[in-house]
Amino acid sequence: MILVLDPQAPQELIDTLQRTVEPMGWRCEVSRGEDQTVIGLSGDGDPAELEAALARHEDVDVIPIVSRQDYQRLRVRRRMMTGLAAGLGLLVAMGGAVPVAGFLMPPKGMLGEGNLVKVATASEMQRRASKPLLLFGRSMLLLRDERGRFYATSAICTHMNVCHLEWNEQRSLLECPCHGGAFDVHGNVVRGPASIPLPTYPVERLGEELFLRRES
Amino acid sequence: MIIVLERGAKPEQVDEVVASLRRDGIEVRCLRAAGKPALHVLAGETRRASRALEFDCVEGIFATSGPRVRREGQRFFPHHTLRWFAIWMVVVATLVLLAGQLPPGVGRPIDLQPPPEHVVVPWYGRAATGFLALFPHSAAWLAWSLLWIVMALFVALPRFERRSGVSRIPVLGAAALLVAAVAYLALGGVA
Amino acid sequence: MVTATDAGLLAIARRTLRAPISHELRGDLGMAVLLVALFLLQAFTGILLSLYYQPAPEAVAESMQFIMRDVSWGWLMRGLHHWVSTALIVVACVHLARALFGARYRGREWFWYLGALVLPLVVALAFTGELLAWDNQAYWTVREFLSDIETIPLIGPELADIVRGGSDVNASTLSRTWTAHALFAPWLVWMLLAANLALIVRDVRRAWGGGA
Repeated sequence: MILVLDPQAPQELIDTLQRTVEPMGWRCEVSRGEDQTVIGLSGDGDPAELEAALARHEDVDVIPIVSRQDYQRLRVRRRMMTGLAAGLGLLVAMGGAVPVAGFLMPPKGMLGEGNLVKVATASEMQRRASKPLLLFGRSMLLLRDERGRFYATSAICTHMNVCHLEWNEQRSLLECPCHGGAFDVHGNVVRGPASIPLPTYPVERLGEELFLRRES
Repeated sequence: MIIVLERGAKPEQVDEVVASLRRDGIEVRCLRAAGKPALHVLAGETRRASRALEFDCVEGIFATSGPRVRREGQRFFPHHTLRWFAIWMVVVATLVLLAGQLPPGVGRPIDLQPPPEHVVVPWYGRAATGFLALFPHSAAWLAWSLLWIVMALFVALPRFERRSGVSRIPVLGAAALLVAAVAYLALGGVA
Repeated sequence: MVTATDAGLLAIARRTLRAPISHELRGDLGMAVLLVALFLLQAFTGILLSLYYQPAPEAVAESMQFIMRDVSWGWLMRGLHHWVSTALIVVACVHLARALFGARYRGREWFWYLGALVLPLVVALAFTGELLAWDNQAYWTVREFLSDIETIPLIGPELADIVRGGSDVNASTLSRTWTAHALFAPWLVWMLLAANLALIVRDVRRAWGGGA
């Protein structure tokens, strides 16, 4: 049997315990340590009687010494519990990682795609080509310059807001048949009588498809 | 921590175990308990004490610090850490359930006309806005700031001692009134 | 140069982790740990949400629909972020009530002061977070809030202009709400939490004699 006390247990308590225990047939060996004070008991006293006698001492733990097999069993059990706890912990960690990883992977559709309207495929537009569009209630022209870049401008000349512009491939200009005005692909006025630049719209390309964005 | 050796262990075997432990920085004292030699670990980092199990004559090791722990309290790690982790799991599970079952909706787009008659203030703000609605605004702001300053510096206030003759009942009464007022306002008493 | 594995720092960390927690303090400490954990979760889900959320008036609604419908587990992150904010306020109030009525703050006043600073920050975070939805409800709440701010004596109108970022509610208001919610207020809370942790470590060192 082993009695465990607080490391700073007073000497009177130890003396009291020795006086209680020795008549029952136990020999005491006292050892003070950092973590606990231990009294090792040897002899042929009755363990049950000992436990009963010391039951009222709340500050004394009575610990039996058991067999080798019992100690082994306790070790196995502790390892099982630790393994179980670690396994549960791992499961929880994985369970938490899955949503985070899924969230980080960008979904199929992309942000802002709802507002995009497909207007053409890149392959159908040759360089220096144009394609007329009617979108969002406006007449537009989709253009591709000699370097292969795409532009979209309003198709109405800003001089009198009446005439439809025509795309001149050789000069890469939008020309107005009414009064001879001309604009470049960026909407800048190249030749009068127009003075207000053309409204332009950014063309967004996703792979082989060209889109124009709907204004909110 | 106690290291129990087998009943028939020879003194040389015991010395061998003691020397091995000392090399790991663990000081022990040899006792006899229930007819077996028992080593009481006096000091040192007990993590490596389990290496003593490699010796055939060592039967078992157990740690015991019941009385000290009852006096001082359990240690942060591992006892409380594991306990709080379990509680945390319950909390997270509850929150995930709430997130799934009662999701926050996506509101209506901004509608400049007409302005809504009833702007719903979040529950934690109702006490403050209700308070503001009851009193002229400057006074209300002053009172509200004062309340927060008193709250923040509450622990610095002098304590009410029984001996000073000021009974605690009016103080507790005022506190209860304050709590009731805040709760009333928070639960939408004043629009 | 001090490295992390310096005997001093590691020993302090180990001592702090192995410190015994007295029976009367374990409830308070448990609540505080819960609050920190909730705040960490909030910061984490917030950062995840900020990957998709767009703080510009014309893009807000779409980004939020995107999160709720298209992003995998987006509903979970947003839902968690919403409910953890409520949980934070509730647990913070319970923590305050416990500290107040248990009178355990004697000798630990600094924890109270720090907590008194954290609580309004948490409420402000919850409030600005709701505003970030920038829907009809949020828009009119902002206008109400600003008209209330204007009634503050002396500095009211100037303060309202700073919060609004202009003479009327506009995109700048949303931008400022975003900065307050995602950058400024969390930074302040982290500073306060770090101060709290430093205090705890100091207490542990004092109790255990400072040596490794």
